[in-house]
Amino acid sequence: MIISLRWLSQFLPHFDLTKAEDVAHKLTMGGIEVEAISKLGEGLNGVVVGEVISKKKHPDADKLSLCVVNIGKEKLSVVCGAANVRDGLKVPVAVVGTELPNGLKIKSSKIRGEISEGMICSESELGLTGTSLGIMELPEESKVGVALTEALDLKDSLLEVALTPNRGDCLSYLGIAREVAAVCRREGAKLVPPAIGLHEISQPTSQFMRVEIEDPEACPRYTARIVGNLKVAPSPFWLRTRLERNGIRPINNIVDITNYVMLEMGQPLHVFDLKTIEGGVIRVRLSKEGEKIVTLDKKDRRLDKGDILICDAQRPIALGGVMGCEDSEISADTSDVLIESAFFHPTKIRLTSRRLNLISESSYRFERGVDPENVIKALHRAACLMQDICGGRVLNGALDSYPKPFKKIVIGFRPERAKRILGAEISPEESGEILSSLGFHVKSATQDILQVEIPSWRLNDVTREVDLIEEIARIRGYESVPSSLPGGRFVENILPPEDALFKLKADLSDMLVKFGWREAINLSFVSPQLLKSFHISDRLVTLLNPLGEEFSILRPTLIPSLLGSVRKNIAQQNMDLRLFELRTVFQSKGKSIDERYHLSAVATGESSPKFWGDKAKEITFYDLKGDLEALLKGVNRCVDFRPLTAQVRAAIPAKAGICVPLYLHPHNNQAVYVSNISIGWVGEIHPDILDKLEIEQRVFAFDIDVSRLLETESTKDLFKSISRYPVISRDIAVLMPRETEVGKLIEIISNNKPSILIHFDLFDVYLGEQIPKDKKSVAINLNFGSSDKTLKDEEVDQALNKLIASIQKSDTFKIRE
Amino acid sequence: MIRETLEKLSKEAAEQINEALAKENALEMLERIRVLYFGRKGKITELLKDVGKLSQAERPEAGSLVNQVKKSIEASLESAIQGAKKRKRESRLKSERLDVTLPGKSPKIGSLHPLTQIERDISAIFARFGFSVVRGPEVETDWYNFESLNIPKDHPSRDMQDTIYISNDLLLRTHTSPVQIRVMQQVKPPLRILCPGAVYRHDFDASHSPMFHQIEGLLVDEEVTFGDLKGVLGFFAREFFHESKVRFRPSFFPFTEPSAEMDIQCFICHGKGCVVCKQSGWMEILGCGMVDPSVFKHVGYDAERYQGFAFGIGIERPAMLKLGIPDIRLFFDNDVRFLRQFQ
Repeated sequence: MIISLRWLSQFLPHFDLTKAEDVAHKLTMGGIEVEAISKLGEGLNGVVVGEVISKKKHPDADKLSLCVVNIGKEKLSVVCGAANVRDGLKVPVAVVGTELPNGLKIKSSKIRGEISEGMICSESELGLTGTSLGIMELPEESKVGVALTEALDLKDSLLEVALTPNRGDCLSYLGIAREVAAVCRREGAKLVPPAIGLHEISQPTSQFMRVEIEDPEACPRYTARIVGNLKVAPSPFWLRTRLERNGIRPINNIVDITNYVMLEMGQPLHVFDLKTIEGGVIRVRLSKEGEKIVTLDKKDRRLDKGDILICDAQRPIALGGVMGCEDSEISADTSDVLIESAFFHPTKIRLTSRRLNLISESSYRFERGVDPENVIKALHRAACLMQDICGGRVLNGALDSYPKPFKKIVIGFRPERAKRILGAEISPEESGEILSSLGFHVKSATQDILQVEIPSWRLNDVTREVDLIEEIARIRGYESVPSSLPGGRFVENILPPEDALFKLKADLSDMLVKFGWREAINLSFVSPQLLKSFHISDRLVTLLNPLGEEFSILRPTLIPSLLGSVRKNIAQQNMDLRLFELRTVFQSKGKSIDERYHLSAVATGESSPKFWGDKAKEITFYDLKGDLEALLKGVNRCVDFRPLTAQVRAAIPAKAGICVPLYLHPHNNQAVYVSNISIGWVGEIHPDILDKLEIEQRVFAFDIDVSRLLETESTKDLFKSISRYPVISRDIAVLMPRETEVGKLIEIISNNKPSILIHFDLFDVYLGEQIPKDKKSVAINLNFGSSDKTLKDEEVDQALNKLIASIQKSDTFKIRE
Repeated sequence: MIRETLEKLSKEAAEQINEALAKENALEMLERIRVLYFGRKGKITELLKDVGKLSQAERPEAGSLVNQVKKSIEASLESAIQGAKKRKRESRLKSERLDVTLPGKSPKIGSLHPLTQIERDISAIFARFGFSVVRGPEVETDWYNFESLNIPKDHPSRDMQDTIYISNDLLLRTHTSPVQIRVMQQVKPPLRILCPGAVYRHDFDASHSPMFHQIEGLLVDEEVTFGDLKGVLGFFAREFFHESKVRFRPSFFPFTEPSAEMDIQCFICHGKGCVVCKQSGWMEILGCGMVDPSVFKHVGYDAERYQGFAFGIGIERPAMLKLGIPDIRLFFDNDVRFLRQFQ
């Protein structure tokens, strides 16, 4: 909402509002946030109202005119380029010596040989609007020679106020004035509400109209007045200016007055052309399913059951609280009007406005709750303005149907309680004073408790003692509460699994960073097309109102979006990537949604960083497998790798039903196990998928279910003593068919491990001329040792021979001599 | 007689040593010379044996002469060996010379996402007050996300958050506040918790992402005041932004009363007013307040006995301010040219 300080000062004649920054600061620190201040008329000191008294074409330029402008004390020759300049027009003239807000200095000059002694300005040149066509046309009634700031009432500052949804009472000048009066509290200075000086004629309103409310819940109060013999015309300049400054387009004096009173007092009003109301009755009822009306914006609206309708004897004439109907609208020949001022139920209005997607100034205020006691005052005020401005005659008495008056609410306020919550002592006297300044009525006060009656404009939002505490704290200023630190008791209630998960996630990420991986974060949404290209279609979580088709599914796996990141980076010529993501994945599980944390990683290109002394190495499957192994060891888990069979794939939690295998290379993949529980996989992305993503280099990936990993056993061993005896090292080379997996050999060694074998390492796989073409030679280093003696060569030989015998038991393996 | 022999010997030895020193394998040659003179059958050794065979009268003089020559040859041999060793080491050092101006070989080190780094920094500050980390689901029910937090259906306060729905009742949480409710349902006060996580709203431009991150904090005990809230959050501002000037402005959140926004003095212009703080001199950092008694009612806490404060910090905004990032979408593009700036 925009607040003009000039207008506001009418309500607060005894307050000093000259410093806009001051008022803005006090309001902001009291909870009414002022987001911006704009000062009108700055830099317009040398601009005056002029009248064009003659206009001729410039002899040397088609588009320029030579004008003589009367600015009161003299007549100036001015060259003007605007198309709309004409005889008799009132215009803003910047005289020689003026510096305009845009920095332009006005000098006497010759334009194509013709003298120009000033400049006729456009609105944008004056800094009044961003862009404008042609020069500004001033109202006819503007006085020649007067400063523009005066003529346009520009000595004003506008505050842009951002209101929180609980403060519907501040959607008016009256409301903001109450706040200013409270935050600028001054002894004896009071708010002056708008004057109402009605001169009613003797004819009673009730002779022409009656009001019937069918549903007092939806409409607890409906008031109306009739004003006759009006003349519909444009509003006076001051009224139009005030509306425009608040962003409301002037229409005619009748409609403008309703909008003006709404801004002034916060009460939305509606006017009907009296002659269009049939049967002398206003009936407030709820709509029936499927009823149709045409609203003021000329749109056909189909109603649901339960919208508030204002009807005459025959038909609906307005959608209550939201918008009027077209055929009861004020027109040029309207002479008698019925003014409506009512209280409609906030939720009802909100539902109607949402359903029809029709948000008006009026519905916006009604859904935040208007002041039920202000309803009648606003009615009188509007009638009074119509009488004064439109020459209308106000009929005697208002119709006021108020079947269920709002009850006065009294709340007890304990200063002791306020102290306990705020941590600052506020005396009962000061509390009472602050509350009174906001319009609360302190009915009785002791040291222990104040009985406080809530003003009718705060019934919605102040309902409890704690709300009063906030009122006092905010008006007194949060600055007045001293900062402290909480003491309190030892917190026993931590939630262990959460802390453990937090630590596990941090450990995994930290280690990957040390291994050279970069963490990525993608949005949780993916497009159905992307998932389709990965052959993922089951148990997807689809959003009802996504930001768009490509954001319509919650991702069931991190891999597709990570590959998306790979593609984007490669497009930027960043070809060497190791990216991981540790985030939530989603799957529907019956009526609920299964959320799990997954750790996924993708890598491609060269093993960075590059070094001049080394040959560039491509990232391989083994890089990822090795990192994964080290990673899981790092979090004290026992890891092993097994074939990723269809069955195993199905057993991977959160992957069940999702066709993981289809986006992996058919050969290059393995399942990852921890303590016999499958927790994920490591593998290469299928080239078919990469083709679709237009990635032309091999990509490797792994995926771990972190929620599942958390449930596996941590196997941190106690310290093992270090042997004092020497280790004896032996190498063997095993000749085996090329297509046989080395894993088989490792399995044999592990299964037949002699007790003195401490560990073994595979250190070479040889293919070449020294051995037959269909074979490979695998070299293994074996370390023997004992914790209680030095081993003899014979002991080692014996153990080794036994191991060799086990290896050679199968014809597949042969020891190379 | 012996004198002549010795003279000749010593001359020969000197020549041989010089000759050896000129050779590539000087050390080896010198060793050979040592054996030639002082070995078991070495020339000097033999001479000493001969001296033993002389008469008692001749022996002292002859012995002393031989020893003199022995010492002199030994000394020159020793200095020759030292010289040869030194030359050998020098030539090795020369051969080992590197071009130390070539670049070094760096280990490959990755990086945590800047949002993870900021989340950790913030959590670490509150950990010093004993806050422990908890998490809640990102898919929430209407009740946890709204109703229990005093945001009824068909109330204008729902407009503050544009929601993404999965079904009528399920939605993507619009804030981390529902975790408060879930924790309070499980445990009794006192409690101090921090809930970081992703939240979602229906919004997408340079300063709004449909997914962003928050950290929710909650402290509940018997004697917790608004002053404590100011103290804890003021401490946070000082530690995180190195800016100790903060202000608390009254605001509105349906689940706190009184409610406040905390601003810090703009750390770009130090309060003078600049583009970043829109000339106000202040930056809006977080929302906070005393837990509304009706929230306590929803979780079965006695609102007369317990009180507490809650706060919610958006992670992206302070990260953008602190790191000078102009567009929120950069966080989720995963361009390595962006990621590698935050080691």
